[in-house]
Amino acid sequence: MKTNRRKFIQGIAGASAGLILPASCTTNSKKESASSEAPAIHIKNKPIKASHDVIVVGAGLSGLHAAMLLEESGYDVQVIEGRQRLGGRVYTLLDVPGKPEAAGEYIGANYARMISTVNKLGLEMYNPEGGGNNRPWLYNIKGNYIDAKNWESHKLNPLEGEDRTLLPHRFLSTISHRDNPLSGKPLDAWLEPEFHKYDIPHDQYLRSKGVNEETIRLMNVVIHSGGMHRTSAINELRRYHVMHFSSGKISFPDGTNWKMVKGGNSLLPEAMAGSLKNEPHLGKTVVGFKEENGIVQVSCADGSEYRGKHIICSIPISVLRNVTFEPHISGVTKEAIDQMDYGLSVQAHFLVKEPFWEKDGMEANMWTDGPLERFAVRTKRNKTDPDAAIAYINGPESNKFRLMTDDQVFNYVEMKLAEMRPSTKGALERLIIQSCERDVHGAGDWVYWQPGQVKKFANHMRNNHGNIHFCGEHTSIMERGMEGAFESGERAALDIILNA
Amino acid sequence: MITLKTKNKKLNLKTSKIFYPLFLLTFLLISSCGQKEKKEEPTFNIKTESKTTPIAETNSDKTQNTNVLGKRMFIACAACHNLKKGEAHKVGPNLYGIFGKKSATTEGFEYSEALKASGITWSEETIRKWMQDPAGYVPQTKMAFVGIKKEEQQTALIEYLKEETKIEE
Repeated sequence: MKTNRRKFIQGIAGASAGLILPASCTTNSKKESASSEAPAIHIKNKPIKASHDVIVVGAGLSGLHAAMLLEESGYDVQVIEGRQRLGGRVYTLLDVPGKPEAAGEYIGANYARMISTVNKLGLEMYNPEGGGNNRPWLYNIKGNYIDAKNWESHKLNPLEGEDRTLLPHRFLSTISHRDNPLSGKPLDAWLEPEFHKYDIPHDQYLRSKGVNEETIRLMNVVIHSGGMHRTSAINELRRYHVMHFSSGKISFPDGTNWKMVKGGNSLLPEAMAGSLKNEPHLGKTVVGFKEENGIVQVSCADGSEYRGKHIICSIPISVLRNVTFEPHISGVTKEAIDQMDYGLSVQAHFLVKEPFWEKDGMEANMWTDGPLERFAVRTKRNKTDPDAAIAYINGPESNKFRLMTDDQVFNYVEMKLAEMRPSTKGALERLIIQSCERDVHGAGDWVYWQPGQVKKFANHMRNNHGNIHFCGEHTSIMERGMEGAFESGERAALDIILNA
Repeated sequence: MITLKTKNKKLNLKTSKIFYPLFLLTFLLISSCGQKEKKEEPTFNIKTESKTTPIAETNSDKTQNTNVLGKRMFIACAACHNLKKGEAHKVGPNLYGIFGKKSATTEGFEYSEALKASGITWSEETIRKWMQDPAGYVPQTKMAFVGIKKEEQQTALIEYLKEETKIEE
């Protein structure tokens, strides 16, 4: 048994070094690794039996999709989830008027796996009335209110020629995508060494394209919480490449380009969970994985334990810093766990008691380079919905909210709003602070790649650690967002199914 | 299969030995899960057919396609493609009767300009090239697929597709 253990540990060391050999396949390994000094297993213990073929950690889209595929292939699967709800980054705020989506919102016509699952489970998709966010913005730049119609001729407009018609909230997506070197390439091209030269700070990339400093500053308003200098250009180039890849080429049969789940996107993870033979267990915060003799023991914060022959782990990579692995994770994978980060977005939801925009005669929605970034009166999805508004902060300004309680966030947002827009004072009623990061289970909205990380980590994200297989949006190859989650769950499930 | 391209070939042989008991167990589970009762804990309201449909009685088993690897490989395709006559197009076209067909000619599906212009006739050989790297074979295709790199997996999937897309007599 001891020999097996040693071989096993060597296997893990190999796996972490990027060789992705399975634990049980290491007889050729010659190198003694430091971790082989770990204590031998307690031979007094009876052999541990797996309670399930596969334990799936995380009941978001990736974990649930993997669980469904594994079950269809005959595996006995148990899904466990840290939060007291399903869905992860799909979360319909059912208690907020108008039931806004707090995270994953639009289902693109190209979201093949997601659409297929929605249809299979008998859910309905629709295009809500009013569509996306189509009220015009009132820009507040350097303290000046600027209407969209005045922007082209305004002295604070940093662009030249025809570009002056480009509105500030479109700067980041439009200018980043110009001459995108990934255009025309397959969706996995971003992983190829030929594009590593773009794994540099995004602001640096833009300067090399002749974009001026004020334009870069305005692009920085709504980029991830890391800001332009901490975001790899290839992260942004990939983002817009994926966005544009199928636009104009793939649409729903009714000609629309996106839809939502009728009744709220949260109905999808609920239906996925409901289709499984074993009901997912909620409130199971995973704190450790321990693999012995091909069985992985999963320990939860409430003291409960699960044992599986395989694990599918959809925990966001930065949250894995709080999870222990035995044998240890080392090498590139460990560096990725320690260094990768997620964008942070904070939403402060309000009920609008009186239409403040009627009081001051300006557009209701604000896009600002100040501390609140965006404040939007939500488009009503049903005529009976009351007016509701969201302060939505996702750029570098969002980091400070990590230091605040929900009440403090409300206090701060109300104070800054009243300074910028006095008519909002007393016009708003607090509803809820929402962020996918404001509990121990979430990391943020999307993973973002810092300069140099694509080259270093991007091809290691999918390596298994013994019998633990990783999925989640951060491990996706071709897609991003919700479809990226599905793609990753499919890949992780196939890793198990095809190696059986 | 996506990450497998970097894996050592020895891996499969060894893991298949080691997982042979798992295979058996899986088989037993498949054959017994028809009787498996779900605990009565109705937290989730939406019930679906897949919960009560025993795996041993799904359609593809009725056709007695014994190509297990091919069937498993098709998991990577199923989100986009139906195979049977009369089934809807999904994000990708229905592949009924695909072998011997000219590319981009199935009615009711909007193909990319690139595939329309490709002049490909789908044969074992061309389908193999396509499933290995669609965008490498036909640049600018709108099929977003990472590709199947292992030859035995390609072969199994081709055999599976041949059987499942066969034109009904």
